[in-house]
Amino acid sequence: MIETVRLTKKFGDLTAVDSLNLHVEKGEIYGFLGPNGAGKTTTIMMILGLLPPTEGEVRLFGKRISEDYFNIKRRIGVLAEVQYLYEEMTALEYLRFFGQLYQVENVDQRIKETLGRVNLYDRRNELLKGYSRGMKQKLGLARALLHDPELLLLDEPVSALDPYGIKEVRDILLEENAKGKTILISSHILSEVERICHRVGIMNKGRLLAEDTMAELRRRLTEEVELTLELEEEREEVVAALRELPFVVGVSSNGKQITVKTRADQDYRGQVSATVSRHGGVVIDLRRHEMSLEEAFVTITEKNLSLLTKEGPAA
Amino acid sequence: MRFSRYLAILISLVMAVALVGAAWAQEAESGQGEEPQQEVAGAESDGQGAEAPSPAQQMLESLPDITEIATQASQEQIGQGQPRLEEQVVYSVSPWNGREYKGTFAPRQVDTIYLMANEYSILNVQRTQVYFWPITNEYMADWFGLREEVPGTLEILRDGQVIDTLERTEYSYYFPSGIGREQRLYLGEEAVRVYEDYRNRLNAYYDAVSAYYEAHREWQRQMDEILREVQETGQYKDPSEIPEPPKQPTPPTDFAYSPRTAFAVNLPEGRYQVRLRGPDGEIVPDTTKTLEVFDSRRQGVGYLVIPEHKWTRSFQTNDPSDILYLDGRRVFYIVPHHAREFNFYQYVKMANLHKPLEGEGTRSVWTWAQFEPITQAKLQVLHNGEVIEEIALKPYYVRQTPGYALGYNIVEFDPENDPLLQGRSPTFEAYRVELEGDKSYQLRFVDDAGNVLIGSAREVRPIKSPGNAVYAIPLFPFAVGLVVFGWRRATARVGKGEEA
Amino acid sequence: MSVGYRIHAIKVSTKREIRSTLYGVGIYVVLALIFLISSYVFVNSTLRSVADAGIQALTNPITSPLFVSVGLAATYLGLCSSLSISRDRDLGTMEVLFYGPVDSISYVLGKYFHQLLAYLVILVFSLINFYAISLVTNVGFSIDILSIMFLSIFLTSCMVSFGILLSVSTRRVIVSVVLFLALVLFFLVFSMVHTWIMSIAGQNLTPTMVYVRVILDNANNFIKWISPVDYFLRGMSAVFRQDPGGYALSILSSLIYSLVLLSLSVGMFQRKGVRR
Repeated sequence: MIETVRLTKKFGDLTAVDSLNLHVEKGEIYGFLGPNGAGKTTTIMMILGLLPPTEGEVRLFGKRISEDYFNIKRRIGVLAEVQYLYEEMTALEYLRFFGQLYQVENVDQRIKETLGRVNLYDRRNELLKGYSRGMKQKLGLARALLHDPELLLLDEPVSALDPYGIKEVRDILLEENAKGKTILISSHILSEVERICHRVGIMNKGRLLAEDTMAELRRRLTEEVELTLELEEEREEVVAALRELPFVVGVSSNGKQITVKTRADQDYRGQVSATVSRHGGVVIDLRRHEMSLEEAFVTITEKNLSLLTKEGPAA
Repeated sequence: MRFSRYLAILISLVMAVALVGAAWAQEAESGQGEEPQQEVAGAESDGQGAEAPSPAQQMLESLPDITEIATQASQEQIGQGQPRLEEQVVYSVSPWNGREYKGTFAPRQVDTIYLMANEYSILNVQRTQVYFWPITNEYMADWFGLREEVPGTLEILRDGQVIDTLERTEYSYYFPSGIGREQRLYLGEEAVRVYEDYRNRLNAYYDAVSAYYEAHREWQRQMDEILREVQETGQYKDPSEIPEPPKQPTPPTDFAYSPRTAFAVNLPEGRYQVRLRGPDGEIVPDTTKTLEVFDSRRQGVGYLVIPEHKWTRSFQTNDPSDILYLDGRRVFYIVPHHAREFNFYQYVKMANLHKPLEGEGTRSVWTWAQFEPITQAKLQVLHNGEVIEEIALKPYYVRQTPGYALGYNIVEFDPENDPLLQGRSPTFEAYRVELEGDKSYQLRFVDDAGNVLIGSAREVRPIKSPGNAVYAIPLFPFAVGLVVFGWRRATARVGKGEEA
Repeated sequence: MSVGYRIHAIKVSTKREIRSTLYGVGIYVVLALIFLISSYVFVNSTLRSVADAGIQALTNPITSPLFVSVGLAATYLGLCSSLSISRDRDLGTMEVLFYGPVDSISYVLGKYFHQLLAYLVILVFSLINFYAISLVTNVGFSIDILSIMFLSIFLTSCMVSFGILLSVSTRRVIVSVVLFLALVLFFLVFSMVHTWIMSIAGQNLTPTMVYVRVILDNANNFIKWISPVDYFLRGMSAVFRQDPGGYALSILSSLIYSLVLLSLSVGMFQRKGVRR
């Protein structure tokens, strides 16, 4: 759906995007992450054709944008981080304008549906200069969805929303994805990305440092796995037995709660559970602690790791 | 200003001719002009083939031509400092400007000569002394010091090809109503004929003047005799016995220059080259110049409008798109003339080749030139497309009203019915227009065949002064804006910004 | 196919902008002010001079207030054009448009046609205004006035293209506005000085003044091709001369001027990009 090949953008001496190879598959939700100034927005602008790349190319739907500019643009819905609206218009006029621009059929019906989805239909006749930031963001999403695009590019789609609004948007995005839409989300709210994205790409200093599914990313990032066991009663021999296991790196206990660190090469929960049972312990709770996206993001960007892309380490 | 200077010189020269003529007549009267009288008589008896020129002929032939009058350096100028006189081969040019033939010359430094298309202009190639007079920024020539015609034929080229070769021909300027009025150019034999006709009439006039003085002397002698008889006899004579005094002859009112030879050039609009090929077949150095022949952009009929209430404040309207606006005044006079619109630069340069700065920087300017006056036409007044009046050209006289008030009346010049006008001349000849009411009209001139003269139509509109009401109209858009604003406020409200 | 989409984008964006213009009060206030100024000029120049003279020959006197009016209106719209692109860029609304099926050509032409359409609205008001003035003063409303009004569309076209070019070439609103006003003022003052110098062509001038005239005339030979006002003046002159060829040529050259400026604008726009 989206493919960038050695995409590079330089502003004078500054390389904002450096040989970026990005692949977003049809039907997936892709989280595009990176700290401020990582080059995400520049990449999105190049994907949209609003900034010409210094080198490399972008392909959308298998074509360069210049090959079929208008048709490609009509298949994309975009939501920017900040909503730039025509404030002298009402929401209805605003969406009608974009509906006409995208040549949406049954535009009034479609506007009604879309405004209803973002819960703004009742305020359709109000001038946009009176809209709050969150309302504007939802109206922006309505605009992005209005023409039923195949690809959604969303830049911080929930940044201005309250928790209720965030849930609303999340539900809409999952619904759209369920209909087969491809979604690229650039966001700082990693918990949201983690909840809905199938794959993520992590950018830093213009380079894509990691790109994979969440599970695989976690797996590849983790050297040790932490298991937390809760026993029915405290047993010293269990702790000793666990320390003897070859794959165990460390064990600590706190009464009935034991923390076991194992190697991350495979899942050792079965073996740990069996060892506890053999030594008379009864496991009432066993939890594997996984690295969060946020931890992974910090790990990757702080260390500027570039070992996790398909291409492997960069030169 | 320059025109009036040249005209003054020309008029003084003509007056000199007249004065010399009168002096000669007086000499004839006193018996001291016997020899010239015989010469004139001899000339008359010889018919056209006079051996010795008559005094009139001598005077006429000694007149400098128009170019010389216009560009002759004064003795004061020649005598001041050390002007660097340079002997040059120059083109003396007398271009037609629509009303008269002007005089200029193109020194070596000037590359382009400008002439009006489809009109005869006079060109001559002469050797003279030229110098630059910095005070007036013009080239002057000492024609009286050196004026030598350079022999040869004039070649006219277009795109490098010779399209015409001209020989010198005789030409004469003729003024049917006297100097300063209509001027005509005659070429070849016709020039000689016109001039000789004029000269003969001038000679006849001189003869008539001689005869008049002779008759007057005889009448005076008879009157003296009658007076002596009355004194001696004391008896009065019957009025029928008193002889009538002789009538003074009237001089010719026209004027003709004595024929000279030059090249008469008449070309259609275009850019040409001219050069003089000498008798040896070679091109005479410094005679190759560009000849820019230009035509008018528009033709029309110009009106000199004389308002009846301010007859000294006449104004000109040449542009057919002009409208005559009236504010209360309904009577005015129109003196029409043909007019043509030319590029100002070309038109001015044409007659001022010897003034390098003249007209510079005016290539984007256009000017209307007055051509011959219109006298054989009728002025039609139309209202709603229908002719309601036809007006003829008539002479008018401006008569001051007696008394303290410095007023005047403009009356039709009719000396036969108005004894006060006898012995006077009309002030102007014009078409008198008197319009009625607040209606709009159209004026136009038609010839004898009823054809409308091109560019002669003008609209006449009485103007109304609406006062401050005129400022109410511009508020209309503002009123529309208020309506739109109100409607918009009613249909699109500003919300409070809270989440839905 | 892309031509069809482009025309559609131009149509839709023009429609949005003209609607936004008409829903605001700015255009009506500006129009009323323009008409008031032109009426003032008319009353205090033409009507007064005819009243003083009693009889006077004038080319239809409506043309002078009309000239003031269309000149101010075209300048206002040119100014709006010079504002619009840099303001769109500043506000970010341009970026939103380019997320969709709008490219640089359709965007620039959308701006151009919006201002032209706004001028057509102005022209309707002008027609009403000047017809009413001509009726109450009986100065006449000739076909020449209509020709000049039609011609003024092309003056606006030149002004708007000129404003758009300035707007795309500058990053900041204030720069494009100041540049536009300064240049239009320069063209106007130059045109006035040149006209004045040429109007005294028949008088004797000192050599210094003649050289000034030569310099001005040569400068005019260059400026007349870049000053939008000059295209209109040439057309007006053709109307008075009853020269349909000259009139058509003036329109054609105005269109070429606009086309060249709009092409330059598009090129410059593509080079600068959409982002602030």
